[in-house]
Amino acid sequence: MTNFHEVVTATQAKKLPFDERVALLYERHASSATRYAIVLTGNEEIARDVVQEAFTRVLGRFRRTRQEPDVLDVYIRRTILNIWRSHLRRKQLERRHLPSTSSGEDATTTDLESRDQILRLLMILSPRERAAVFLRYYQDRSIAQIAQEFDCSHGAVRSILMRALNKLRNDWEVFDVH
Amino acid sequence: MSTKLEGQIRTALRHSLDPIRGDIGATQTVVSAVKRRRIAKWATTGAFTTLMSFASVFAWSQVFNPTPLQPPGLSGSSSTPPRSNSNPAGSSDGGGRMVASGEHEGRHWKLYAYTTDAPADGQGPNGDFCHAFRFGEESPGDDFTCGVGEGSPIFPPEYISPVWVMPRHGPHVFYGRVAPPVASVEIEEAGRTSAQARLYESQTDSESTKFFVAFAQPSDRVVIVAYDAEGNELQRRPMVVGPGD
Repeated sequence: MTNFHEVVTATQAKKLPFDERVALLYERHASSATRYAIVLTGNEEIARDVVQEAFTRVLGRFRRTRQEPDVLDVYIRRTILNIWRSHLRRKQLERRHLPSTSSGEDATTTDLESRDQILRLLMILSPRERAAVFLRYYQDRSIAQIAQEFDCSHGAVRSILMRALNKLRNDWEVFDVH
Repeated sequence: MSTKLEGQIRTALRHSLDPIRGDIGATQTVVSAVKRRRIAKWATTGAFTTLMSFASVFAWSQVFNPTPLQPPGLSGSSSTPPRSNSNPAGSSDGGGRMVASGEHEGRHWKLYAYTTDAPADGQGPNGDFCHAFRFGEESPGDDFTCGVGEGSPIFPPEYISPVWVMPRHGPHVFYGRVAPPVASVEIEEAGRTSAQARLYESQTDSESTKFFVAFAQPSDRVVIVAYDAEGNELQRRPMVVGPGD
């Protein structure tokens, strides 16, 4: 079935009222952003919250939603990563000051009991490594594209991916991911 | 080895992530949040600041040439915000003084009052008297908002100054300051009362300030109605929420 939003051309989109333009952008990019956020957070509910927050921030900033920027995907992914990193930093700070409530287990891993093995396995990686793995192996981005998104060199991306693969290789058989 | 592992990762990720879809049901929530954010951002722009400067001049002219700005029958309230309520340090991050708290559907909430120190995060010019509502002990920024400029001298006093909050979780929240002689506040949806607000009184060194807090699940146009002790309607404040906001 063809999605209504897929057949709206760029010219037609420009004529839409603000509400509908924002809705269109959200509906076009929400699925991809949610998958990325799930890989980062390991928790579907948190991921959906983070995605909503990211869209609110990014679309709230864009001056011209009439022209869907090609970089919207990149902006949203960056924002998701930043929100998630801030969340983790805040959690670390809370744990430091509230030792009695610290369970020693990351909230992101506790909700993965029923999720796929691959997502559980990815939790051993850092957020940046997870992001790189998602972009490279799920979205098939080139090293150059990832480097641009991460604002770092090609070599740095290769080394992030190499580190991630080394970590994953050690646990791949243990987790029995297929 | 690496190539084989990469292939396995690709397959596993596709298998796991392809069925996941974005939360399209949240589209209107996002649209409303984007609009509110843009309005808040606009409030810090030069155009808005200039507009407020004119409004400020007008307010001062009212001080030196006093004409009644208050609605008839309203006594004892001042157009000056209760600065004594503010946090001396000022804050826009959920600091300030807690003026009311309670529990709704098992979740604790708190209402803060404070003055802003700086026009950070689009929350109004320096020195504005603001409210902030927060559920639980969540980090600042979660389920948190600020009533820009309420109670500021540039805004004439009203019986109620409602603010609508749409938290990411839970019901919608309406809260605001209440000026005498308001004795009760109700939330009306489709012409019928859908929620009764609770009033909270906050006593400070110099004066007492009343606040109302109400929870509702609005779907369309909502009206906040203020009544006096005899049940006479004092003020109606329509608020468009949800889709179409």
